[in-house]
Order: sequence, then C-alpha cells, then structure tokens
Amino acid sequence: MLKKIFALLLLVFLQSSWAFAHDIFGFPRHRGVEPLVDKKYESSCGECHFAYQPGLLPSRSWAKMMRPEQLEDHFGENAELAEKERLYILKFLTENGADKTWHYKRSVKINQSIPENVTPLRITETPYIKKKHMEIPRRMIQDNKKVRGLSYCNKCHTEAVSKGQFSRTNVDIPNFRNWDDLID
Amino acid sequence: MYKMMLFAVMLLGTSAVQAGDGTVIDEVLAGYQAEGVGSFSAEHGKEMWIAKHEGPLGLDGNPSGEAFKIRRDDEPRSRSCQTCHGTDLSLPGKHWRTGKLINPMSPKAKPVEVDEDDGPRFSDKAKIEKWFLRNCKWTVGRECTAQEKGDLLSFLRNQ
Repeated sequence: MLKKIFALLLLVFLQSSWAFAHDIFGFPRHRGVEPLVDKKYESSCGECHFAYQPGLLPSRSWAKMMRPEQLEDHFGENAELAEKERLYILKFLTENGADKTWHYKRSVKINQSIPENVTPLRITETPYIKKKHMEIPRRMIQDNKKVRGLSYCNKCHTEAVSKGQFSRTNVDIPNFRNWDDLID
Repeated sequence: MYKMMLFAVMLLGTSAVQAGDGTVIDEVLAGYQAEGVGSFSAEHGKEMWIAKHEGPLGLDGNPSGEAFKIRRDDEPRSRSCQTCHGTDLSLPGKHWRTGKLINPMSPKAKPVEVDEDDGPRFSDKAKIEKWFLRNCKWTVGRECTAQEKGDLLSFLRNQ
C-alpha cells in the first residue's frame, strides 16, 4: 500500500517537474491558445462574432482595440460598450494576450511573428496566421458561403471554441470535407 | 416530498423569469419618464422601426449630412432597423455584413440562437441600452432620445 502511494507521489512529482522544466526553459507546454472563458467577454463580444481567445493577439493590440474611439468604429461596426464593461474586458484581454501566455505554442508563434513596432488589430493580418492559411484557395474560405472569411475561425477549426485548439487535424472545411487531399 | 415540492417551486420560478413578463421593459420606460418623457407612442415607434434613412454615404454616393462616424463604401446607402432585423418580427434577422442570425425581436417568438446565459428578448436592461446605443448610431447616425427609445420599446413589446 505504502509502495503504491509512493509510486503515485513520484509520478505526480515527475509530471509537475516536467511541466516546471518546460516553464523555466521557455518551451510552450500546451499546443493551442489558452481556452479562456469569461461570461462577460462572451456576452459583450461573442454576441456578434466568435469570442477570439485573448492569446490570439498581443496585449498591445487588445489595448488599442478597446479604446473608446476604436470601438465606435470596430471594423466598420459600432461596438461601443458601457465604460464599466469596457474596462473589465480591456483588463481581461490585456492580462491574457499572446505575449502573456507564453506557455501556449500558438500564442508564442503569433506573438513572435509580429514586429515590435507593429500593433495589428486583425488576427488574420498577423504574419503567422497569414502564413498558415496562405495555401488555402479562395473557393474554400472567402468564396465559400459556409465560411465567408478567415475571421470566422470556428467555421473550420472545430475545437477552436471549446479547447482553443487550431491544429490541422481538427480542421473541417464546410463543403470541402476532403480539403486535405486538395491542398499540398 | 418536501424536496420535490421545493424543486417544483424552483422550476416554476425559473419559468416565470424565462417567459419575459415585461417587467424589465416597464423599468426601462419608468427610467425614461424619470428623464422627463411624458407618454410613449407605439405608433411612432412603429414609424421609426420602418423609416428609411440615408447612410453615411447618401443615395447619390456623396457623404450625407448626418454625423455618422463610420463612412465606408460598402455600407448600405439606405438603411432602417429592418436592414438587419427583417420585416417580420417573429422571424430571425440577419446581420447585413456578417450574415449572423439575430434572434427575432418579438418577445413571443422562439429564439434561434440559444445561449444558456441569454434570457428572452427585453429581459436585460444593460443589453437593451447597449444595443440602442450601437444600433441608433448605425441606423440614424446619432444616439436615440429617451422618447424615441421608449416609443420603440412600446411598439416592440406587443409584437
């Protein structure tokens, strides 16, 4: 019995030290972006579009996007919020931006691809995301009525919402179930 | 038995809230009256609902006089509440740009997009004000007055 407990403890220790080693040596421990869920964020932003995880853009981008005058013209839509809500969401997004969640691989890649003097507002215009989707023909995304554009992440990334996972194996393009055979 | 009764009472309680009994609208209207509005006109609310407005770019493509913040070429030149909400209030609307479905405006209609945190139409004061602010600015290029918002609500609540 004692042996079993000891073995279990050892296992727990090894696992946590593995994670710890990853954290100190700077290897991202997780694959996707941090799948954060916040009810206020969902209701304030997710009413109109996929509630993009904060780890998809660096904090400086979120800070710019959440300025009152930016929200008044949010990619051509008025997305104004009551001041209390705006400040709450600003905090949520900037505290969890791609530069802060370095233990998630996708966030690290996105963040590293953006030059320091650039503050992108569109996730789809960050170099990493652009590069990752470069090979996909227009007919599968922009001209695909069931997708409409790169910004509708969750139309194809089936685990984007629930797990913050964007890996190739979880992609299912509507109307193009065999997309993997059509793209090199 | 006691537990079952308690459960039944709880169930009844939630269904009463879910039904959207209009108390929130009453509260909002009372708030507008506190701001100095006398009475509300559902008739005028209906007129506002269907009224067509020139967008940031007028029908001729030149900037219109309204104080729109957003001016883009791809925006509808003429617009109304119905641009996105549709003409039948019992049916879902569709956002003109994103194509996202918008739940029917009628409090009696069944929502299509069901979010577990979402109550029925007009059951959340903050949500009502959030969308009045955003949508009045898009549709007419300015915030709506308390009178106008009250008129619109008075029209919509009985649809």
